[in-house]
Amino acid sequence: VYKRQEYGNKLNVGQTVVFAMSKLAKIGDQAWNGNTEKINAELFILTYGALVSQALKEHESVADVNAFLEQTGYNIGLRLVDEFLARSGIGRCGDWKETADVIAKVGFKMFLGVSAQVVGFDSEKKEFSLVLDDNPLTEFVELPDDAGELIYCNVLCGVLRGALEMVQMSVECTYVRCTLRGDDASEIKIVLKEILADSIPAGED
Amino acid sequence: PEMIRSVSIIAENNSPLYTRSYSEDGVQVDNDTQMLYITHAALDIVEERAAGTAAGTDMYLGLLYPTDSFQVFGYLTNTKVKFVVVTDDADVKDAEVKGLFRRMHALFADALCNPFYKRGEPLHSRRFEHAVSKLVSAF
Repeated sequence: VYKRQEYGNKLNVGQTVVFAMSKLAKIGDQAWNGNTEKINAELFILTYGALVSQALKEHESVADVNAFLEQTGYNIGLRLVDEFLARSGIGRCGDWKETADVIAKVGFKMFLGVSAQVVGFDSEKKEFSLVLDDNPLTEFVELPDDAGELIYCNVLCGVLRGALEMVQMSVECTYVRCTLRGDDASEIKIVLKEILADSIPAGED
Repeated sequence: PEMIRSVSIIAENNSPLYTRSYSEDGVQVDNDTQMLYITHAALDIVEERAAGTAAGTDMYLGLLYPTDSFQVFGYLTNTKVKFVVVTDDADVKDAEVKGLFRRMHALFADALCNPFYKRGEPLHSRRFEHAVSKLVSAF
Protein backbone atom coordinates (compact mmCIF):
# COMPACT_ATOMS: atom_id res chain seq x y z
CA VAL A 1 0.00 0.00 0.00
CA TYR A 2 1.55 3.26 -1.02
CA LYS A 3 0.54 6.56 0.41
CA ARG A 4 -0.34 8.53 -2.66
CA GLN A 5 -0.76 11.70 -0.61
CA GLU A 6 2.72 11.45 0.74
CA TYR A 7 4.43 10.91 -2.55
CA GLY A 8 2.09 12.86 -4.79
CA ASN A 9 3.75 16.19 -4.45
CA LYS A 10 7.27 14.93 -4.75
CA LEU A 11 6.80 12.97 -7.94
CA ASN A 12 6.58 14.37 -11.39
CA VAL A 13 3.74 13.47 -13.71
CA GLY A 14 5.55 10.53 -15.29
CA GLN A 15 5.97 8.72 -12.04
CA THR A 16 2.40 9.27 -10.98
CA VAL A 17 1.38 7.56 -14.17
CA VAL A 18 3.52 4.58 -13.21
CA PHE A 19 1.55 4.20 -10.01
CA ALA A 20 -1.70 4.34 -11.92
CA MET A 21 -0.40 1.73 -14.35
CA SER A 22 0.52 -0.77 -11.69
CA LYS A 23 -2.87 -0.31 -10.12
CA LEU A 24 -4.49 -1.15 -13.45
CA ALA A 25 -2.15 -4.08 -13.94
CA LYS A 26 -3.22 -5.37 -10.58
CA ILE A 27 -6.88 -5.07 -11.47
CA GLY A 28 -6.15 -6.88 -14.69
CA ASP A 29 -4.32 -9.66 -12.90
CA GLN A 30 -7.06 -10.03 -10.35
CA ALA A 31 -9.72 -10.17 -13.01
CA TRP A 32 -7.79 -12.83 -14.91
CA ASN A 33 -6.71 -14.93 -11.94
CA GLY A 34 -9.63 -14.52 -9.61
CA ASN A 35 -12.87 -14.10 -11.38
CA THR A 36 -12.37 -15.61 -14.77
CA GLU A 37 -13.20 -19.15 -15.67
CA LYS A 38 -10.69 -20.54 -18.08
CA ILE A 39 -10.93 -22.83 -21.04
CA ASN A 40 -8.29 -24.86 -22.74
CA ALA A 41 -6.08 -22.70 -24.94
CA GLU A 42 -5.91 -25.22 -27.76
CA LEU A 43 -9.67 -25.36 -27.93
CA PHE A 44 -9.80 -21.60 -28.18
CA ILE A 45 -7.14 -21.47 -30.87
CA LEU A 46 -8.73 -24.26 -32.88
CA THR A 47 -12.15 -22.64 -32.62
CA TYR A 48 -10.91 -19.31 -33.86
CA GLY A 49 -8.86 -21.00 -36.54
CA ALA A 50 -11.92 -22.88 -37.69
CA LEU A 51 -13.84 -19.61 -37.87
CA VAL A 52 -11.19 -18.04 -40.08
CA SER A 53 -10.90 -21.12 -42.32
CA GLN A 54 -14.63 -21.29 -42.77
CA ALA A 55 -14.76 -17.59 -43.57
CA LEU A 56 -12.08 -18.11 -46.20
CA LYS A 57 -14.12 -20.85 -47.79
CA GLU A 58 -17.32 -18.83 -47.78
CA HIS A 59 -16.08 -15.48 -48.96
CA GLU A 60 -14.87 -14.53 -52.39
CA SER A 61 -11.98 -12.29 -51.53
CA VAL A 62 -9.57 -11.90 -48.67
CA ALA A 63 -10.85 -8.35 -48.21
CA ASP A 64 -14.32 -9.80 -47.58
CA VAL A 65 -12.89 -12.15 -44.99
CA ASN A 66 -11.12 -9.30 -43.23
CA ALA A 67 -14.37 -7.32 -43.18
CA PHE A 68 -16.25 -10.37 -41.89
CA LEU A 69 -13.77 -10.93 -39.09
CA GLU A 70 -13.96 -7.26 -38.12
CA GLN A 71 -17.74 -7.31 -38.12
CA THR A 72 -17.79 -10.50 -36.06
CA GLY A 73 -15.47 -8.83 -33.60
CA TYR A 74 -17.67 -5.76 -33.53
CA ASN A 75 -20.67 -7.86 -32.49
CA ILE A 76 -18.59 -9.47 -29.79
CA GLY A 77 -17.32 -6.11 -28.56
CA LEU A 78 -20.82 -4.67 -28.20
CA ARG A 79 -21.57 -7.39 -25.67
CA LEU A 80 -18.18 -7.91 -24.16
CA VAL A 81 -17.81 -4.40 -22.85
CA ASP A 82 -20.52 -4.82 -20.24
CA GLU A 83 -18.96 -8.04 -19.05
CA PHE A 84 -15.71 -6.13 -18.80
CA LEU A 85 -17.17 -3.26 -16.83
CA ALA A 86 -19.06 -5.55 -14.48
CA ARG A 87 -16.08 -7.81 -13.79
CA SER A 88 -13.39 -5.21 -13.49
CA GLY A 89 -15.36 -2.56 -11.66
CA ILE A 90 -13.52 0.07 -13.64
CA GLY A 91 -15.41 3.34 -13.62
CA ARG A 92 -15.32 6.10 -16.16
CA CYS A 93 -11.97 6.85 -17.67
CA GLY A 94 -10.79 10.38 -17.01
CA ASP A 95 -9.15 10.88 -20.34
CA TRP A 96 -8.16 9.17 -23.57
CA LYS A 97 -4.85 8.10 -22.06
CA GLU A 98 -6.61 6.31 -19.26
CA THR A 99 -8.84 4.58 -21.79
CA ALA A 100 -5.75 3.31 -23.54
CA ASP A 101 -4.20 2.03 -20.33
CA VAL A 102 -7.37 0.37 -19.17
CA ILE A 103 -7.77 -1.48 -22.46
CA ALA A 104 -4.17 -2.57 -22.48
CA LYS A 105 -3.71 -3.57 -18.86
CA VAL A 106 -7.16 -4.68 -17.82
CA GLY A 107 -9.14 -5.48 -20.94
CA PHE A 108 -6.59 -7.55 -22.76
CA LYS A 109 -5.43 -9.19 -19.57
CA MET A 110 -8.92 -10.19 -18.56
CA PHE A 111 -9.93 -11.69 -21.86
CA LEU A 112 -6.75 -12.89 -23.48
CA GLY A 113 -4.60 -13.41 -20.43
CA VAL A 114 -1.90 -11.13 -21.79
CA SER A 115 -1.55 -7.41 -21.30
CA ALA A 116 -0.68 -5.13 -24.13
CA GLN A 117 1.59 -2.13 -24.10
CA VAL A 118 0.45 1.31 -25.07
CA VAL A 119 2.84 2.93 -27.49
CA GLY A 120 2.74 5.94 -29.72
CA PHE A 121 0.18 7.76 -27.64
CA ASP A 122 -0.67 11.03 -29.32
CA SER A 123 -3.19 13.20 -27.50
CA GLU A 124 -3.30 15.68 -30.39
CA LYS A 125 -4.19 13.14 -33.01
CA LYS A 126 -6.14 11.14 -30.47
CA GLU A 127 -4.47 7.89 -31.32
CA PHE A 128 -2.37 5.16 -29.78
CA SER A 129 -1.23 1.69 -30.53
CA LEU A 130 -1.50 -1.49 -28.56
CA VAL A 131 1.45 -3.79 -28.86
CA LEU A 132 1.18 -7.46 -28.04
CA ASP A 133 4.27 -9.57 -27.72
CA ASP A 134 2.24 -12.69 -27.34
CA ASN A 135 -1.05 -13.18 -29.07
CA PRO A 136 -2.88 -16.30 -27.97
CA LEU A 137 -5.01 -16.33 -31.10
CA THR A 138 -2.01 -16.91 -33.31
CA GLU A 139 -0.27 -19.67 -31.41
CA PHE A 140 0.47 -22.56 -33.80
CA VAL A 141 -0.83 -20.59 -36.77
CA GLU A 142 1.28 -20.28 -39.89
CA LEU A 143 -0.10 -18.34 -42.79
CA PRO A 144 0.08 -20.11 -46.12
CA ASP A 145 1.80 -18.37 -49.01
CA ASP A 146 -1.47 -17.62 -50.73
CA ALA A 147 -2.91 -15.84 -47.70
CA GLY A 148 -2.61 -12.51 -49.45
CA GLU A 149 -3.72 -9.58 -47.35
CA LEU A 150 -5.50 -11.69 -44.77
CA ILE A 151 -5.56 -10.05 -41.35
CA TYR A 152 -5.91 -13.15 -39.24
CA CYS A 153 -6.63 -11.31 -35.99
CA ASN A 154 -8.92 -8.69 -37.40
CA VAL A 155 -11.57 -9.84 -34.95
CA LEU A 156 -9.64 -7.98 -32.25
CA CYS A 157 -10.00 -4.72 -34.14
CA GLY A 158 -13.73 -5.29 -34.33
CA VAL A 159 -14.00 -6.11 -30.65
CA LEU A 160 -12.28 -2.87 -29.73
CA ARG A 161 -14.45 -0.86 -32.08
CA GLY A 162 -17.66 -2.40 -30.77
CA ALA A 163 -16.70 -2.13 -27.12
CA LEU A 164 -15.63 1.50 -27.38
CA GLU A 165 -18.74 2.43 -29.29
CA MET A 166 -20.77 1.28 -26.32
CA VAL A 167 -18.94 3.73 -24.13
CA GLN A 168 -19.64 6.50 -26.55
CA MET A 169 -16.42 6.51 -28.53
CA SER A 170 -16.31 6.01 -32.24
CA VAL A 171 -12.91 4.65 -33.18
CA GLU A 172 -11.06 3.24 -36.11
CA CYS A 173 -8.89 0.21 -35.40
CA THR A 174 -6.37 -1.21 -37.77
CA TYR A 175 -4.01 -4.11 -37.46
CA VAL A 176 -0.67 -2.58 -38.23
CA ARG A 177 1.85 -5.32 -37.48
CA CYS A 178 1.43 -9.05 -37.07
CA THR A 179 3.76 -11.78 -35.86
CA LEU A 180 2.22 -14.08 -38.45
CA ARG A 181 3.72 -11.85 -41.11
CA GLY A 182 7.16 -11.99 -39.59
CA ASP A 183 6.96 -8.85 -37.47
CA ASP A 184 8.45 -9.08 -34.01
CA ALA A 185 5.18 -8.13 -32.33
CA SER A 186 1.56 -7.52 -33.12
CA GLU A 187 0.27 -3.98 -33.15
CA ILE A 188 -3.23 -2.52 -33.33
CA LYS A 189 -3.63 1.17 -33.96
CA ILE A 190 -6.64 2.92 -32.49
CA VAL A 191 -7.74 6.36 -33.60
CA LEU A 192 -10.56 8.22 -31.91
CA LYS A 193 -12.91 9.61 -34.53
CA GLU A 194 -15.48 11.23 -32.30
CA ILE A 195 -17.14 11.15 -28.95
CA LEU A 196 -20.70 10.09 -29.48
CA ALA A 197 -23.33 12.20 -27.82
CA ASP A 198 -26.25 10.25 -26.44
CA SER A 199 -27.95 9.63 -29.73
CA ILE A 200 -31.46 8.41 -30.15
CA PRO A 201 -31.42 4.78 -31.26
CA ALA A 202 -32.39 4.23 -34.85
CA GLY A 203 -36.03 3.49 -35.32
CA GLU A 204 -37.33 5.74 -32.60
CA ASP A 205 -38.43 9.32 -33.05
CA PRO B 1 27.10 -41.11 -30.46
CA GLU B 2 23.90 -42.48 -31.86
CA MET B 3 22.78 -40.62 -34.92
CA ILE B 4 19.41 -40.29 -36.45
CA ARG B 5 19.54 -40.95 -40.16
CA SER B 6 15.92 -40.36 -40.98
CA VAL B 7 12.58 -39.38 -39.52
CA SER B 8 9.30 -39.82 -41.32
CA ILE B 9 5.66 -39.25 -40.65
CA ILE B 10 3.24 -41.24 -42.76
CA ALA B 11 -0.49 -40.80 -42.94
CA GLU B 12 -3.15 -43.47 -42.47
CA ASN B 13 -3.32 -44.05 -46.17
CA ASN B 14 0.46 -44.39 -46.34
CA SER B 15 1.02 -41.06 -48.05
CA PRO B 16 4.10 -39.29 -46.74
CA LEU B 17 3.46 -36.25 -44.58
CA TYR B 18 6.98 -35.43 -43.62
CA THR B 19 10.35 -36.99 -44.25
CA ARG B 20 13.87 -35.86 -43.52
CA SER B 21 17.11 -37.73 -43.91
CA TYR B 22 20.46 -36.88 -42.42
CA SER B 23 23.99 -37.93 -43.26
CA GLU B 24 26.37 -39.40 -40.68
CA ASP B 25 27.45 -35.91 -39.70
CA GLY B 26 23.88 -34.83 -39.10
CA VAL B 27 23.66 -32.78 -42.27
CA GLN B 28 20.30 -32.82 -43.97
CA VAL B 29 20.21 -34.91 -47.12
CA ASP B 30 17.60 -34.56 -49.80
CA ASN B 31 16.16 -37.56 -51.55
CA ASP B 32 18.11 -40.13 -49.64
CA THR B 33 16.68 -43.08 -51.53
CA GLN B 34 18.18 -45.60 -49.19
CA MET B 35 16.37 -44.07 -46.23
CA LEU B 36 13.17 -43.80 -48.20
CA TYR B 37 13.42 -47.46 -49.10
CA ILE B 38 14.12 -48.54 -45.53
CA THR B 39 11.23 -46.42 -44.24
CA HIS B 40 8.90 -47.78 -46.86
CA ALA B 41 9.81 -51.35 -46.02
CA ALA B 42 9.25 -50.53 -42.37
CA LEU B 43 5.65 -49.58 -43.06
CA ASP B 44 4.79 -53.19 -43.79
CA ILE B 45 6.19 -54.24 -40.46
CA VAL B 46 4.25 -51.45 -38.76
CA GLU B 47 1.04 -52.76 -40.22
CA GLU B 48 1.92 -56.28 -39.14
CA ARG B 49 2.71 -55.17 -35.63
CA ALA B 50 -0.39 -53.03 -35.48
CA ALA B 51 -2.62 -55.92 -36.49
CA GLY B 52 -0.84 -58.26 -34.09
CA THR B 53 -0.92 -56.46 -30.77
CA ALA B 54 -4.52 -56.86 -29.75
CA ALA B 55 -4.14 -55.72 -26.17
CA GLY B 56 -1.16 -53.49 -26.89
CA THR B 57 -2.27 -49.96 -26.31
CA ASP B 58 1.24 -48.65 -26.48
CA MET B 59 1.88 -46.48 -29.50
CA TYR B 60 5.58 -47.20 -29.41
CA LEU B 61 6.31 -50.24 -31.53
CA GLY B 62 9.98 -50.54 -30.77
CA LEU B 63 12.62 -51.91 -33.05
CA LEU B 64 10.94 -52.89 -36.28
CA TYR B 65 13.84 -54.61 -37.94
CA PRO B 66 17.59 -54.30 -37.93
CA THR B 67 19.40 -53.98 -41.22
CA ASP B 68 23.11 -54.57 -41.50
CA SER B 69 23.97 -51.01 -40.56
CA PHE B 70 20.79 -49.37 -39.35
CA GLN B 71 18.01 -49.77 -36.84
CA VAL B 72 14.45 -48.86 -37.64
CA PHE B 73 11.92 -47.86 -34.99
CA GLY B 74 8.23 -47.35 -35.34
CA TYR B 75 5.42 -45.54 -33.55
CA LEU B 76 1.78 -45.75 -34.42
CA THR B 77 -0.83 -43.35 -33.14
CA ASN B 78 -4.47 -44.19 -32.59
CA THR B 79 -5.29 -42.04 -35.57
CA LYS B 80 -3.14 -44.41 -37.65
CA VAL B 81 -0.39 -41.88 -38.22
CA LYS B 82 2.95 -43.67 -38.40
CA PHE B 83 6.27 -42.30 -37.26
CA VAL B 84 9.40 -44.09 -38.47
CA VAL B 85 12.90 -43.32 -37.29
CA VAL B 86 16.08 -44.81 -38.70
CA THR B 87 19.24 -44.67 -36.65
CA ASP B 88 22.85 -45.73 -37.06
CA ASP B 89 23.67 -49.08 -35.64
CA ALA B 90 24.79 -47.99 -32.23
CA ASP B 91 23.69 -48.37 -28.66
CA VAL B 92 20.38 -46.70 -29.02
CA LYS B 93 18.38 -46.88 -25.83
CA ASP B 94 14.77 -47.83 -26.22
CA ALA B 95 13.72 -45.20 -23.72
CA GLU B 96 15.43 -42.46 -25.69
CA VAL B 97 13.73 -43.39 -28.92
CA LYS B 98 10.43 -43.62 -27.12
CA GLY B 99 10.97 -40.11 -25.80
CA LEU B 100 11.85 -38.88 -29.26
CA PHE B 101 8.65 -40.29 -30.70
CA ARG B 102 6.57 -38.79 -27.96
CA ARG B 103 8.07 -35.37 -28.54
CA MET B 104 7.59 -35.66 -32.28
CA HIS B 105 4.01 -36.67 -31.75
CA ALA B 106 3.50 -33.56 -29.60
CA LEU B 107 5.10 -31.35 -32.27
CA PHE B 108 2.91 -32.95 -34.88
CA ALA B 109 -0.16 -32.25 -32.76
CA ASP B 110 0.92 -28.62 -32.50
CA ALA B 111 1.32 -28.42 -36.26
CA LEU B 112 -2.19 -29.82 -36.64
CA CYS B 113 -3.49 -26.86 -34.64
CA ASN B 114 -2.62 -24.61 -37.56
CA PRO B 115 -6.03 -23.97 -39.12
CA PHE B 116 -4.41 -23.65 -42.53
CA TYR B 117 -2.95 -27.13 -42.45
CA LYS B 118 -5.21 -29.81 -43.82
CA ARG B 119 -4.83 -33.29 -42.43
CA GLY B 120 -3.42 -35.66 -44.99
CA GLU B 121 -1.43 -33.01 -46.81
CA PRO B 122 2.35 -32.94 -46.65
CA LEU B 123 3.55 -30.86 -43.75
CA HIS B 124 5.30 -27.63 -44.68
CA SER B 125 5.32 -25.92 -41.32
CA ARG B 126 8.46 -23.91 -40.71
CA ARG B 127 8.01 -24.14 -36.99
CA PHE B 128 7.69 -27.91 -37.11
CA GLU B 129 10.77 -28.15 -39.32
CA HIS B 130 12.77 -26.06 -36.93
CA ALA B 131 11.64 -27.98 -33.88
CA VAL B 132 12.32 -31.38 -35.43
CA SER B 133 15.83 -30.35 -36.51
CA LYS B 134 16.54 -29.32 -32.95
CA LEU B 135 15.19 -32.59 -31.66
CA VAL B 136 17.28 -34.60 -34.09
CA SER B 137 20.51 -32.77 -33.43
CA ALA B 138 20.00 -33.03 -29.70
CA PHE B 139 19.49 -36.77 -29.85
